[in-house]
Amino acid sequence: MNNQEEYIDQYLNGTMSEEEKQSFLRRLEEDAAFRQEFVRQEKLADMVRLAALQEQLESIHLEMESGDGHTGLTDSGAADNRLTDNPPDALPSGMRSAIKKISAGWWLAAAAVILLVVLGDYLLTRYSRPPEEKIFAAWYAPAPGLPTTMGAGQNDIRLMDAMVDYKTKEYSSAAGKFKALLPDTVAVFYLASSYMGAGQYDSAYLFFRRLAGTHPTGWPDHYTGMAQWYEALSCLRLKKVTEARSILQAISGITDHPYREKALKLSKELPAL
Amino acid sequence: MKAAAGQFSEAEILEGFKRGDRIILSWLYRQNYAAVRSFVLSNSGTDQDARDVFQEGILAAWNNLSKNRYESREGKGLESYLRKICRFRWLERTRSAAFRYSSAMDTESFSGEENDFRGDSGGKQLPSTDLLNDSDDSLNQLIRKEEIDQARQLLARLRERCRKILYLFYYRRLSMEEIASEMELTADSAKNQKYRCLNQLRELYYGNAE
Repeated sequence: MNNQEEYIDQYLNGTMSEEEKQSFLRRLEEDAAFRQEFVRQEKLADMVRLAALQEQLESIHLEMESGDGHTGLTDSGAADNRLTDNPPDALPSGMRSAIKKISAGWWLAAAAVILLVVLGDYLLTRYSRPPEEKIFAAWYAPAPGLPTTMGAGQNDIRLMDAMVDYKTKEYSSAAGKFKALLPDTVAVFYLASSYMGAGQYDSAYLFFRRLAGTHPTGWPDHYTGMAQWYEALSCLRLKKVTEARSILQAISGITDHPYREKALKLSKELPAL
Repeated sequence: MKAAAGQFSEAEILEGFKRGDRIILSWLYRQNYAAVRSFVLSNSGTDQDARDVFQEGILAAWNNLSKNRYESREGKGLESYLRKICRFRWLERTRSAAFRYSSAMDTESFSGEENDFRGDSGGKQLPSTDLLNDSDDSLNQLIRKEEIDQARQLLARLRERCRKILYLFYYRRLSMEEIASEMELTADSAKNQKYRCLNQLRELYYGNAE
C-alpha cells in the first residue's frame, strides 16, 4: 500500500473535509514532485471513469437504436436521393437510338426471362436454407473494428496490424495475427470475430464462449457483453438453438446489457424453429 | 429548471449525471441526441460523426462537472451546456484540415449558442465566429474518442477483477469496505488489490507512452 496514493485518491474521490482539501491544494501548489504524481494518478482515474461512462453511453445508444427500430437514427432519405442522381439521358446518343430500334415486344420477353432467372435464383437460395441460417443472416452484422490510428507499444502495433486485416475483411490473415496476441481480451474477441467473418462458426463459438463466460456482474464490460451476443448468434448458426435461447435469456435478464433489446427480439423469433 | 417532460429537476439531473446514474444518463441521451444528430447531419457530418460528437460531448460535460469546471456561468442548465459543447466540438472538427474543402456549413440550422440548434430564429452568421472564441474555457476541455478507445483497450488488458475493483472505486466511488463486501474480500485485501491493479494500469499506460 502507498500512503501518497491513498491521499491522492481521497481528493480524487471527493472524500476529504474542506480543511484537508485546502491543505492538499496547498501541497499541490508547493511540491512539484507531488504535483507530478497527482497529475499521473488523476489521468489513470479519469481513464477508468471515462471508459466506464462511455460503456454506459454505448449501451444506451444501442438500446435506443434497437428500441423500436424506427427511432429516426438512420437517414435513408439522403442515400435514396443519391441513387437517383444520374440523369435518365446519360447514355451516349448512338446507343439511345439503337435501343429505340429494338421492338417493345423483344424487351418484354427479355425482361421476363431475366426476371425468372433472378427470382428463381433468389427463391432457391432463400428457401433452401435452413431457418437457423436465415435468422442468423438477418441478425448477424460483423463487429466494427477498432480505430487503427494509435501508436504505442509493441503489442499495440501488432494489434493494429491485425485490426487492419480484420477491417479489410482479410479474416484468415487477421485470425493468425490475433491468435499471436492471446490471451489479450481484445485479441480474443476479434479472433472470434475473424472466425465468424470467415464462416468458421465452430471456432468462433469456442472463442466467444471463452470470453463471454468471464462476464462479472456489475462491470459493464464492452467485450464480454458483445461476446455473449455473438456467442448466441454462433450457436444459432451451428443449430444449437436451445443453447442460443438460454444465452439470449441470460442477456435479457441483465438490465444494463447493451444487447438486451436485441436479445429480447431475437428470442421471440426462435420458438418458431 | 424543470426538465422538458417535468420528470427531473436540474439538481436531480446534475446529481444523477455526476454519479453516472443510468436513468438520468439515458434520459439525457434520448432528450438531446436527435438535436445534435440533426445539427451534425445538416453540417456535412454522418451518423457516426453525430454519435461520436455527442458521446464526446457527454464525456466532456461529465468531466467538467466532476472537476467543478461547470458552474454558475452556465445559468441555462446542463442540456444547454451539453449541446453547446457538441456544437463547439463539431465546429472544431469541421474547421480542421480534413474538412477544409468539404461542403459549406449549413448556416440556416446553425443559429448561435442561444438557440439549441434550431434554425427558426433567423441566425445567419457563419458558425466560426462566436462560439470558437467563447470565453468559457471549459469548452476546450475536450475528450477525444481516440483517448477513450485507448483507455478501453488498456483496461481490457487487466484481469476482470482488476477492472471491476478500479471501476467500483473510481467510477462508482465506493469505499473499500463496500468494495470488499461486493467482491467478497476483506477490506485490507480489497485495498491491496486496488493498489496492485492501479499499478498495472500505470505500467500499461505510462510504460506505453514513455
